[in-house]
Amino acid sequence: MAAMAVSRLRLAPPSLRQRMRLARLVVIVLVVVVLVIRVVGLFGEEDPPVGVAGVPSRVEQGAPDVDRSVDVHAGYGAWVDMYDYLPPEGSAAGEATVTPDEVDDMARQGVRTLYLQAAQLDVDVTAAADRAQPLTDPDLIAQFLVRAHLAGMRVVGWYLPRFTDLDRDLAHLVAISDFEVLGHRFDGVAVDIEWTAGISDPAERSDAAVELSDRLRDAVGDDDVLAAIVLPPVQLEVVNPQKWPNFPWRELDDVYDVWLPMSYWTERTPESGYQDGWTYTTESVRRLRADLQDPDAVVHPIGGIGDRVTPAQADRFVQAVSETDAIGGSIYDWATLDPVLSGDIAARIDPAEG
Amino acid sequence: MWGLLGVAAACGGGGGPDGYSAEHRADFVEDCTTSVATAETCGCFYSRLAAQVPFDRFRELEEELTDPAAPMPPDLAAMAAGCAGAEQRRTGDGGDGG
Repeated sequence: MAAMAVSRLRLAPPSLRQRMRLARLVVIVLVVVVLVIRVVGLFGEEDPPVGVAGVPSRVEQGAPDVDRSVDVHAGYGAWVDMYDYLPPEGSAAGEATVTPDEVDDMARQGVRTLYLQAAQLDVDVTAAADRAQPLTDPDLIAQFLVRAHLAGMRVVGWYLPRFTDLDRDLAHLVAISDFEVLGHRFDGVAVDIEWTAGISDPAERSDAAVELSDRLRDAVGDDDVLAAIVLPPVQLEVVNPQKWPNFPWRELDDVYDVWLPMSYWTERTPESGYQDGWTYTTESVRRLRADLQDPDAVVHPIGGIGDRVTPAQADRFVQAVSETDAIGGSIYDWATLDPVLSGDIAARIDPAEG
Repeated sequence: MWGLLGVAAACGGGGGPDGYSAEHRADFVEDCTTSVATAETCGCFYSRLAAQVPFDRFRELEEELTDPAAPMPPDLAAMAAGCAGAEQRRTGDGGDGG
């Protein structure tokens, strides 16, 4: 009997008061839900800052996906060494010859890749840097890097090892590889293998160069493209065989993906026949591929030196870049090369041909 | 919406501050700091702005950059990046970092 009464109560339609209570409860629940959503929205996913304060955030949003492939070396490049942006204390130059502002000029001229010396052993030769720093000047390097990326260019960081302290050499190279600022990283790392004054014995020097290269490869992994900036084989095999006999081409070939021979024909005498942009470059590339035993080795020849390059020599160099199926080419360096000549070369080194 | 109201209130409800100041800096750094831009980077950025950009120009930029689609001046981007880079400067580790 009592159960029937309860059942009747439950089945009876709700009174007006009950319905009002229910409606009030629904409203309260809805208000709570809205408040929770607002609070979570405020603290969970903040809107990016706007105005000038939003600049660092926008720089980060504009960072390109770094794809350290050989394509980074395609087309025309510009070379900047640390003495361009950090002139030695008391030097005649006094002021920097290349500043981050000039990156926009590079882009306008058709430069696709900026090769920036980002580290140096014993950087205490400059006033602004400290030998304890793994990179020359992270402040300036960050400015070059971000401005180049904003201008649509890629940036390769390079370093000149001396081979006498491989731990330190490696630390500088890994610092370049790891450097990241507001989401921007170097698009490639290049090792400038040319220093002969540190270790006098060529065999020991070769061993050190191979060991450093192997350790660098281990540190960055197999997927990163590494580039080797090398003395041109014509110089090592014809002009001055005593400079670095038995250079370890084959051993280094296991590590590096792209080769950048420094074919500075302006350093050669007219009598040698190599003071010619085409002859010096083509023979260096041919010998390089033979030494590597790789006829398809990817190369990006570097001509120079900028302030002594004539338009006729530059014309011959561009021909050589094309005829050797080089992926790209450049002249050392940006600060010394005539801007008009630079623009002409850029227009003729088509990355699509690489 | 609430954030914008807060900024407007902090700026006196209209017109904003008359120049670079400690109070303006604090508001700026608070707005600027994100997961990638630390307070140190933002403070450095503000200092460089104060040293290199006249305040009238700052206010113009502030208005221009309210539109997220507005082009970002490369020199401002480099200024901020330089600060973030400087923050990574190491001392006394013998070059073994990284």
